[in-house]
Amino acid sequence: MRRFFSKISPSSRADAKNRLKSVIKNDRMNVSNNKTLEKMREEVSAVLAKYASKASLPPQVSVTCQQGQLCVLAATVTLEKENYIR
Amino acid sequence: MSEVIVITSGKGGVGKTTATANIGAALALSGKKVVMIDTDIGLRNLDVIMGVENRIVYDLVDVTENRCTYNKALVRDKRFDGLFLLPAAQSRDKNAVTTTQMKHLVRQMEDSFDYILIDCPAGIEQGFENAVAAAKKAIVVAMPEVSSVRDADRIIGLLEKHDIRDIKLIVNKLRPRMVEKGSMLGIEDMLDILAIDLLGVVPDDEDIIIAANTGEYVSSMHSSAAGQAYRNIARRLNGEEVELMKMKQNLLGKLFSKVRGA
Repeated sequence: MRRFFSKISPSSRADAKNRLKSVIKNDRMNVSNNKTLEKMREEVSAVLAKYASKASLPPQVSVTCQQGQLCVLAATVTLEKENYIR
Repeated sequence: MSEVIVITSGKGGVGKTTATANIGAALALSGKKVVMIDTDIGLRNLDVIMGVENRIVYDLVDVTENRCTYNKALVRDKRFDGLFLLPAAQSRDKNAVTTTQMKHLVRQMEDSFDYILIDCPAGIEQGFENAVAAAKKAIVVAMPEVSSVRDADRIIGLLEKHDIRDIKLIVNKLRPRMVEKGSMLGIEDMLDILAIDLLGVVPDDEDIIIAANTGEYVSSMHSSAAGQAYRNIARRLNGEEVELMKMKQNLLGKLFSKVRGA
């Protein structure tokens, strides 16, 4: 019983503030990353569209990112006879 | 020309509707002509807080779908000379109105009122987009509690994205004793995290529930601490410099001496 009740600290204000600062920092970074990634995806799509004028399908671009790092940019251009995946 | 202010928070249940109603009433008491627009379509509550729920004939969606003019839809609070409600629709959802319709509506109203207060629903979807579409200023209501502050931060970012730069904070449901004991975030903590100007602090007060039970305004109750807080907020919106109230532990008096008016 003592162990259960002692887990809840009465001076939790500082904990709350520190946790908030950390979680808000992550939230802001993820929002900003998503915007950046979307912008990159659009730019890459525009470039591919320009050079893949003979493509039978619009270029497919995906960008995936792990927290705090840019990871994989994948682009698929489907031409009439060949597929190029980079 | 009106002051068009959206009252928002992100998180639900922190006191947006109560703040809208009581600030509106306090502004009307000071002689201003005020309209409050409830944009929480499907979950309206401003009517109940104001005690006018039995007098609604038309609503916001009736206006935006041109079934009536906004004047016909307004519910006048007979206790005041200049306090009006444009209620939300209860049987539709938030996609029933567009941001363009909201901007058009507010433009029509702007010359007739001193203040247009827009009660924003919780969340960041279409309801939020509608509420902020025509707003020029924002009041963010937050409780001194982790999820409320986190959501308030997100909302502030979205408001700035919508080019609303005049954003002020109301700290709601503060318990000074808990702050002093170190069990609740303090005002300084919230201002440090959110980094916006403070408009006012409303203490946790059972008079708010009592007032809502009977459709009365806590800002009309002279013995209520929360009521005094809302009256002070209205005075600051009107441009007065009003000191923060001394609450039980006199904690706030030590932290701040004055809060500038809007």
